[in-house]
Amino acid sequence: MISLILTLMISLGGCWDRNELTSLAITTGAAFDKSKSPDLIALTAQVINLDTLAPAAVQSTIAAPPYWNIKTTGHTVFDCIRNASQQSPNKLYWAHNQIIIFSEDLAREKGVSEYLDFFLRDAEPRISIWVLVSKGKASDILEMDSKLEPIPSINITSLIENRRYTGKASAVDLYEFSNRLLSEATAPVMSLIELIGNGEERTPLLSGTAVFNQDSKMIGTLGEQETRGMLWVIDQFESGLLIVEAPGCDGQLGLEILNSSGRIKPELANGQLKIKVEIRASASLGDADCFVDILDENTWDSINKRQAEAIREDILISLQQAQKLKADIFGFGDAVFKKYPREWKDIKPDWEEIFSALEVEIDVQTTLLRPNMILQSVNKRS
Amino acid sequence: MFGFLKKKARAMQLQKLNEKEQNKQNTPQKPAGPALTPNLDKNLTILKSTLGNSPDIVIRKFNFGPRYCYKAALFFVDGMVDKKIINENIIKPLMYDMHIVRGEQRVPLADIGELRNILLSVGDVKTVTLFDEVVTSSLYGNSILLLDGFSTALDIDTKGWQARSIQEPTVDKVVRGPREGFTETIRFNTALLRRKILNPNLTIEQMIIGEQTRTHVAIAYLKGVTSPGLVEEVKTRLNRIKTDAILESGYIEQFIEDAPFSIFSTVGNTEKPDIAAARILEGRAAILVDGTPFVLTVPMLFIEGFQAAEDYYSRPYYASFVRLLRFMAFFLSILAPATYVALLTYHQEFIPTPLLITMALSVQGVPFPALVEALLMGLMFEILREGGIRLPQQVGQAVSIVGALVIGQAAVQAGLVDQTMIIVIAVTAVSSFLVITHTDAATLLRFILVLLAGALGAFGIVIGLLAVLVHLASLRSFGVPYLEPAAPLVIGDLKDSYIRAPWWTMLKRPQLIGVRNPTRQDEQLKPAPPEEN
Repeated sequence: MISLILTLMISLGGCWDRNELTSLAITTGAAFDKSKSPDLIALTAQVINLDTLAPAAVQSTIAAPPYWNIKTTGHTVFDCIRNASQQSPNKLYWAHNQIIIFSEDLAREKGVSEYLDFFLRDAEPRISIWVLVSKGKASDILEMDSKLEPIPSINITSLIENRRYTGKASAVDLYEFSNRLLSEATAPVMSLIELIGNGEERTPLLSGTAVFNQDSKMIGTLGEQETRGMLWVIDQFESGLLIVEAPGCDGQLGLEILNSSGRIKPELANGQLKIKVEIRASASLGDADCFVDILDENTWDSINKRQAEAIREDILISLQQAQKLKADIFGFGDAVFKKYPREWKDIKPDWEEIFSALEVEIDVQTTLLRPNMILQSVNKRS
Repeated sequence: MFGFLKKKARAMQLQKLNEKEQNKQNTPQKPAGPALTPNLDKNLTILKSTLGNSPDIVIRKFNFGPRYCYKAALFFVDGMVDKKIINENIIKPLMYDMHIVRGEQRVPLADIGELRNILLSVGDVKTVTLFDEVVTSSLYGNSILLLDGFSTALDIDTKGWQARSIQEPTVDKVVRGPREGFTETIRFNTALLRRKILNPNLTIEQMIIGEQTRTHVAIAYLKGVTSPGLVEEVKTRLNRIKTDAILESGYIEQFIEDAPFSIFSTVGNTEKPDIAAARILEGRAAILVDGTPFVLTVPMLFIEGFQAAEDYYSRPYYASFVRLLRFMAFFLSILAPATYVALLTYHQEFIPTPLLITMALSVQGVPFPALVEALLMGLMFEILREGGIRLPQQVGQAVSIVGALVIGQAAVQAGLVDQTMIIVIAVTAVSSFLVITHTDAATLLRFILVLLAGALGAFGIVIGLLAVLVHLASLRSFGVPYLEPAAPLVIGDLKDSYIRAPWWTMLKRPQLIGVRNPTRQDEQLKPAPPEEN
């Protein structure tokens, strides 16, 4: 009796939500561009074209791209996605989507929040997908000449992960972007991507940061050094090289950052708001292009000082640009809110103005850990 | 509704019980049966009529004694007896040596026992008086010496049929450890047990089960270690069996097991004396059945399937690793195809993107849903396995080769099955052989879980596993919880479960089995180099 009931229960479930893998179009990237009509949304979805990835096809001489960019339009994002099934035999499957790219003109004019709702609301897409702004058309990025990794959107994912070796670009996922967007003070940011080269050989370059305002409209960009400054402060600088002048010889040193931490400490005294930024970093000597006498203690100390100075300079430039844009990319406002929740009410309405004139004290303490495998350089140039 | 059904069932049970009681009263206790008469010819006629004119029944009539005054007959079944004993140790002494012993004195034999005492050079000689006894023991290879003028006969042990010698069993093979295995003859088997445990407390009690086959069944246990309650329970359950035939210990197993409707076996079996001895030493009872090398041991725990004899003979570290490996393989063997089906049909988001692309590539163009594919391949493997086992070795190999080619290559090339599925099934197949005891259950579970995964995805797998867990936790084998030492948790016994602790740490017998005499060995047996002064 019980087994009968169980059998019925299982069969009544009836394979709900069943999706055979063969009936899915694995979507790995989405790009939004300005459409011709202002009411419509133009979506380019990149799906993997398995036919060209099959071993037999790879060997064949016809070089078809291993992806297919489906271009659809619709009134909402969801509408676009459903309209794609008018073109694609397989249903778009969003669980493996890696990136969303917005074109710069779209981001500047319309803002991006209306495009993000679907990706947050629907069960399939992940909240950990990267969001980027492209200089130029976003759909072009998905058609770029993808070297080493044949699928452009996966290629871009790798580029974003590679930013940890330089610190010259930011990596923002949907979760962080939405959090910043929902914050009262912090300005949302996205990675910035562009295509370099021309003709067939159009390869990507991930560089800098796009800055948004609280209405999700893009208001400006950060260059590479400014991006680094931001990453130092928000404690996302994983690794990268600091180029400093070599002490005692005519050349430059590359210091590889091994560890870093950034803390924001707001201080409110006599109605005067002051932000203290504490950076702790340690580095190793990565390369030297002249003979630097690192066995000399003074040289060691002076390299260390220059390291701290370089970091301070990154942050200062970044702060200048942010204050110019009146965009609190560092999250100073949130830090103030956390420490002084009562006073924040008074500060909040004028935050943009306060931020643009904010006094920031930068405290950088660095350590130079080791010269790596050799002590003295083989390069004898002084 | 359930209440009504329950009542009805209960009523039917009571009715059956009543009928049984009445039947019992109708069949009175069997009488002892007719006794032998002093008349030899009459005895022989009765025996012939009892056993029929089978060609293997031999009646050797002869005269012996001074002036050949005694008329005697030797009665035995050809093929069951050792002819050499009959010729050299029975007939020869009677016909020749009697002259030497007694000369030509015509002192009549007072008692047939006298022959046994002075003439028959055979180990085991008994006197019998009943026809039933004569028939029973002659059918088990004994020879009966009947003498005219006496109403008792001599039952002489001349057992000597062709038997398989002691060989290494095909399962439970070891690299290190004894290689002998039980045989089909119960006497050899009890001897093998005795060779392992020389303690006089090793008790072997024998009984006969099977109305037609009259199979000898023996219970072996260690007095003072095995709890008397267990022995009583085993005897009660064995005595309950009233059946035609016991041809293998599997018959007994199915009559005495605790959970006849479970796919898991609650009675252990082994073909190796060392394993049987080890289980007896832990406080279990062994049931030996004549005619099969498989000895039953009770109670049985789930964990026994994961314990191999060699775990205890090799050093504990590798043994523990292999234990964990077996657990992994067991779960792999029941879960791998189900998980693959669930991933492929419901949970594509669980798979890392590069792996998904690889999988999608292998699935591409396959016309069947993953569920159908898994069922087909699973069935195909079971068919091949069954075919390989039953066929003679040479043909079996041919079947394996054809199967491997058909499954491995042709199916993939024809685009009927995806490659990843082949790998999954292969992994499943190999890992299902690591835990031989539970292979039957694992095979059934695998198919059930595949169906559940096909219908409900990971949710179905979880439901299925949960149901199995609840079921396992509810099982008892002769009063011992099946999942002991995991549930109920018995900390001490965990030393011999997922890992195998060094011998010098296993001070106690399994707690719920060896209750009667829990101490296995002294403490402080840890070996150490001698202390320097």
